[in-house]
Amino acid sequence: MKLRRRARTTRAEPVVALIDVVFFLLVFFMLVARLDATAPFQVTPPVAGSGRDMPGGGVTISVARDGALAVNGRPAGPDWMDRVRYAAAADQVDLIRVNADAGTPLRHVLPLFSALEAAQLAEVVLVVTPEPVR
Amino acid sequence: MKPVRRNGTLPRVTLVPLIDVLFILLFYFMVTSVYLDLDMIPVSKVSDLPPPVAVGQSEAPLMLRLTPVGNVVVQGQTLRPDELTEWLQKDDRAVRPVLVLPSGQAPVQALASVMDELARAGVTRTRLIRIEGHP
Repeated sequence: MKLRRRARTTRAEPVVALIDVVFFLLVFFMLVARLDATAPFQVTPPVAGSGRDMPGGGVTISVARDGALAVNGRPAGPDWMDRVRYAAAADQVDLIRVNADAGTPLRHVLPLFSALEAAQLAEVVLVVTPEPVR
Repeated sequence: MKPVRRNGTLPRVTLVPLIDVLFILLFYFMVTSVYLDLDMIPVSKVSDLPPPVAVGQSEAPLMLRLTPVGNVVVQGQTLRPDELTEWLQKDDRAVRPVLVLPSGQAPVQALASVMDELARAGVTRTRLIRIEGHP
């Protein structure tokens, strides 16, 4: 018996399904992405189970283990408070987030809290990561 | 005016540039996304009033001292953070305002743990205090 070969036809690949998948992935990553400024140094926030959900926006002050500061992702020195005031006034923020590394000694963080509280700019919060369910 | 080619066929829309742009956007968001799940612990509010004046024993603030190693000293007793919840729940201590005086050598994690235990015990009035000029 002689088998007949099928005639070879070049069919175009269906790209519509590919575009659908890519769109889904794109929307997913756009939704989960946080476009906040990151710190110019490594910051691992402390773990706490009683933290509340953090809204977006606001001014972020990052504190490294050695006490180095960054305001909205840019390194800051002793003029950090001016930068916070400027950022808070420019964006009319109502939240100031202190994103300190878990291992940072509190002597680097407590003066920030005092100064921010005295300035009465906005609500001051400490950034934490939720602990795994016990 | 309807665009018709010379030979009468409709122009085909090429999808390749669209796919290129989509892939570039997808790659950008994949690379820049941060997957950290972040929460917050309130430290101070603009509308916060100063701590209330004690009117009786039940309203007198409790002073907690956070040691450099993360333990808590309260009313002469040294407790680990996980023992604090049980201690506060005795004798309705959790209804009293709590003042936390941390050591400057204690890490931020120790403060977060204490704030965590205070919240678990049901303490609603917590305030961080610091001795001025003392690191």
